[in-house]
Amino acid sequence: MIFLERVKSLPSLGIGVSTEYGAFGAGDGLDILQLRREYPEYASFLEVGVEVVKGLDTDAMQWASAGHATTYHFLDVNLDDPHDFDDEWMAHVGALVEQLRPAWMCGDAGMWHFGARERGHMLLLPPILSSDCAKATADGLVRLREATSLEILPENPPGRAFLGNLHLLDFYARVCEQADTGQLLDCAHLALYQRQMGYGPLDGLSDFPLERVIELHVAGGSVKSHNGFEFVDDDHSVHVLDATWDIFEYVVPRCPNLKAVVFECERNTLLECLPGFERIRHTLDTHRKLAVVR
Amino acid sequence: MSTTALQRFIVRLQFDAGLCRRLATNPNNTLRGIDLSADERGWLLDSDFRAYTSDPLFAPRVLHAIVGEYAASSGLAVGHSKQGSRVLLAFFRSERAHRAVQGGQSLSLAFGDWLISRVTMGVWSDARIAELARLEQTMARLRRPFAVRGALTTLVDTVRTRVGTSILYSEILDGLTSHGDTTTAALQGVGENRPVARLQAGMEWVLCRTTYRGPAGRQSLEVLPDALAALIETAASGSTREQVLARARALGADAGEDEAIIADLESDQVLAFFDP
Repeated sequence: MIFLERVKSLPSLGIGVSTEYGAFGAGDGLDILQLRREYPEYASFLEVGVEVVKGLDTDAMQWASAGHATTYHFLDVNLDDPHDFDDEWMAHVGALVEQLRPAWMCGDAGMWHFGARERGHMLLLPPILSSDCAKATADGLVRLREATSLEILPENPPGRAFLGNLHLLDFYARVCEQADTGQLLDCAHLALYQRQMGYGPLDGLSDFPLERVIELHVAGGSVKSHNGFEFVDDDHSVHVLDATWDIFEYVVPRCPNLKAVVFECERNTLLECLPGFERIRHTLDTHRKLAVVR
Repeated sequence: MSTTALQRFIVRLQFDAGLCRRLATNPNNTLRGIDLSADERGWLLDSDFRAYTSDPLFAPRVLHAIVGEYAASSGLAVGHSKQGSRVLLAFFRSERAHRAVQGGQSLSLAFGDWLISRVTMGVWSDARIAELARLEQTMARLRRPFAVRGALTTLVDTVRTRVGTSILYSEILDGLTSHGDTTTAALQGVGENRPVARLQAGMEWVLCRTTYRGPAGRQSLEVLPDALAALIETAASGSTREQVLARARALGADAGEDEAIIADLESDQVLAFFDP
């Protein structure tokens, strides 16, 4: 069955938040249970960032064991590297999927580590934006989908240097088509890419297969400078750049298969996060997307 | 064509501002030996090199993870330095680190080599740093899926160090752990206010054990008596069970005692023979 048929069986998750191991427990981080209690429409699901070597933290385990919806966001696989799908990693992933029961898997389709997967090697660099790398990434997506029986959505990662001859949106359009899968479009990451490359926020979106966009991310960022080199730091603050909102508000009405939106704000207080959630909800309501089920 | 070589080179640029400068001033020399296509080379040279050094915490983040496996040797090295933990950041500019990244090797094991080489080359005068690094590198290897030596099981390995190294290691670790997070304490250094033992003359074999071959295994150390160490090294060299038995007898075991010793080592999961 082709993806655009398979997508009909994916659940509509609504608005959710993301976490990594220990993120909610860090300082003034978001209290996910308080958010769920006071604003359940902003915590319809939890996107759990997972490194198999760390496993799940208490917040994620409690959330999952309560039967709440999750997605599994991998933080430790280079999709374009066939050697990265070793038996031990796959076994851990299988066990974690059993625990989380995610609606789907997703994650930045970039370089999470160099060489073997081990402590100290974790980083996140964007892929080389070439047709070869797109093909290798698509192959990895298919392999993981077949192994887990879950849909695997590639996410466009952040970066400060993007190399290759393809526009980032062209690259991911190829990946999605070759793997016959959907896209997690991170609006903040796309905004920083467009700015870095000197494009307008919406450049290239009209040619992107938006019917494949299943999930959107919104997050804050800060413009910084280093030796005259300006870049956007993807710091997951609540200060969402205008370009990120421009992208989000452009794509929402054009994504017929949108199932989920994550506001990546896990290290901020609930009070700080509310305006961002409200703007996301308002945009979705305006275009009758992801209606709140009460 | 795989883009791996290009991606790894980008990692190296992010570790080492000096490499960025060399790439800018002499790209041909800097890229010699790196398997890049003409397109990849063009994309790299057309990029803004300032991007690669725009994250000053890139190397320190990785260092923090690595020092978790070299707390004792790193702590001692930092303690000797007026630069504090920055003395360890020199690793990321070293030929050994560059070789590890470009070759996809373990950066942690390369860090062990680098610590040892700093003493060997005379940059650091305290020989204890190298001895501790040798010990910690063996333990680091046990957390990774390396091929085992001869008849050793996947749960053990041996290392030859100066007498007193394992005691010194435990002493430093206990001190660091008592200060909370071991890695953070190591990066603050083991200084004169925390005196630690001297090593003694001579060498000893230490058996490193892990409860599980992987990052989650719990590890322990055991100094081996000379005869037992000789026996284990015979097995580690690829000898058959019969040859190890013969070695046991040559080392003074009585008839019957040789079998008992080997059986103990097998039941203790030190040795495993798969002889036909």
